[in-house]
Parts: sequence; structure tokens; C-alpha cells
Amino acid sequence: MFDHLLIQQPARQLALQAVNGRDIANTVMPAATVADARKFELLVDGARKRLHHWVVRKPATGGYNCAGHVFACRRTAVFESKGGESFETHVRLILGWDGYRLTERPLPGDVVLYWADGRRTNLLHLGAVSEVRPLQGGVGDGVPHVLSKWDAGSGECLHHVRHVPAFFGEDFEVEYWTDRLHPTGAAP
Amino acid sequence: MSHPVLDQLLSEEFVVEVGFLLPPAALRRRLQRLRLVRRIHLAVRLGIIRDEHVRAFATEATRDFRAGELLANEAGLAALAVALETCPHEYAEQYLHDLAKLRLAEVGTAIRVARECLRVRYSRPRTETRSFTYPVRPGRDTVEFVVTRYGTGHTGYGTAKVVRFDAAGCC
Repeated sequence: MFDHLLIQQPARQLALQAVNGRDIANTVMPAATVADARKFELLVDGARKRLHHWVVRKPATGGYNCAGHVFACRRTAVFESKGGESFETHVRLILGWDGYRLTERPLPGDVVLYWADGRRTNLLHLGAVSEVRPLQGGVGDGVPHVLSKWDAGSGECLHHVRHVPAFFGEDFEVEYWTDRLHPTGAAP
Repeated sequence: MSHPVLDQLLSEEFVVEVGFLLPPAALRRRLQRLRLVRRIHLAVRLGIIRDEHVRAFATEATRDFRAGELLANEAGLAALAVALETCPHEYAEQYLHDLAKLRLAEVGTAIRVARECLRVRYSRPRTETRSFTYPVRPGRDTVEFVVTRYGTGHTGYGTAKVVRFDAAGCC
């Protein structure tokens, strides 16, 4: 049914490795189009109508997805692994290869994972913690704000960690990962 | 010519309803919950949407393909893959395989969703039912069924009593 597309050039890849030298499968995504820009504007407007104060850092752009933003410095998109492991497994592998560990107290530069629910089998998104804003009165650890590239054709938004697209649902859970050494000095 | 219900998959309303394209497994689950996708699934099961409609849709959705640009109709292609995931028809199988075997970044999300749909399709048994009366009479008739596991081709047989018969089939 899609024979007319078989003659097209296959996706381009970059040489990309984790800290431990393992290859990271990737795909350089094509450019965003006028349609992507319009969709991004509509979805940002929708979020603002729900009083989510998204700050657009970058308009709709191609090239990379959320994992490419976090792991590949916006050069390429990261999906499933070379061995065919799912996106979820691949992200966990890369976090391990790069020496990340779970943390309860995120700081700017850490990684946030959005899971669909408590079972943590379906990964919705990942982003980079860009700021931890103190709460009024200095109570608690503050509220993380995240820089997100929502998909391969979207732009980048700065947002409150819980201010996510409506279709993430009510049950989504966040998980923070850091490459900082554990305070006890234990290896990740 | 594609079917009017399938054409809705290419509308801006649908693209915005789907929202940002999530990773493949999460996007498949999201698409499964959309009313339009469920309507298409039912229309395929009832024979309202047929082989020629699906083929025409595949052509229509990729008509604007340009190398080096993301395809605007990716969400629609992925949505039809999800709608066809459990349909036993040969054209459903062909749609999923033909989409899954592409290696293009321009349609990358739809390709990955099709692969995810095939993985799920092959991990569950396919059930075909046969009955000797139509419509079957709930509580009186029985149907024969054949269960085939896609991956291995192993089959099993049995009969069961019909308890209900409606537009979606018999239970």
C-alpha cells in the first residue's frame, strides 16, 4: 500500500554514544512544516486556556524529539534501541549507561520522566529540569520547572512540572534522575 | 475513493485532538481511546469500511509526502493502524506490514505505531467464528470457533453457546 514510499531515502543517523561507550540508536528527524507550526500554536493556546503558563522557548522545529533534546543536545531523535528494545527500555538503558540515578530532590540539569501511571510501563515524555522555583515563604524544596520538546515537530516550552498536555491524563507520575553523585559518594 | 469517516483522520481537528505525538506505545494507547478510532474499528468489523477504502486512504494520506519534511498526516496513518490492529482481514494485515516496513523519518511515528500494533496483534490469538444460522439466536444457537495464534500458526477449535447478538457481533 505504501510502495511509492519505498524508493525514498531511509532515515539519517548520527554517531552517538553514551558515557560508557555504548552506541545509542537515533534518527535525525526532518524539518517541521507550516502544519507543525500551526498545530504547535493551537496546542500552546489550548494549554494557556487551562491556565498552564507555558513559555515558548523555541517555535516548532524538527530534528529531534524529547529524548534527543535530553540525551543528544538537540542533534537527533532517540526512539527504540538497535536491539529493538522499546522506547521505555532504551531510555532506562541510556540513563544507566550515562550514570544517572533516581533522586527525590531535582535540581536544574536533572532529567524528568513522565509515566502514564503508577505501573511505569508507558513512558509519555521526558524533559530537562531547568529551574526549581522556591515556594512562597520558603516552604519545602520548591517546584521544578521543565524545558520540554513535546514531539519531533513541536517547539520547546518551559513549564511547571505538572502543567502538561491534557491527554497525559490525571494518573501520570513523574520521576527525577540525576547524574550528580550520591551524597554518600556511592556510585550510581 | 476513501471513506468519509476515514477522511476525518486527515482533518486539522483530529490532528489537534491527538495532540503531540507521544512515544509509540503511549500513542497507541491514546489513539485506542479516541471515539473516531473506535468508530472506524467498528465500521471495519461491520464491512462498512472495506479494502478499497483503506487503500485509497493510504494513497490520500501520503499524497503530500516530501522528503525532508515531517508528514502532516502521520497521526491519521497511526490512528488507522490502531483501528485495524485486531481486525482479521487480509488488507488490515497488509496495511500494518506495509507501513511497518518503511524506514522513513518523515513518517517515523506512524511506522513505529504500526510496529507496536503488529507486536500486540501477534501476541494475542485471533478468533474466527462460524455459525450455521443467521442471525444467530441467543440462548439457542452455538457457534464454532477457531483460535489461531498469529506468530506460531497454532490453532485450537471449540464450540460455544451464543448469549448475545448485536451490531458488534455475537458474544
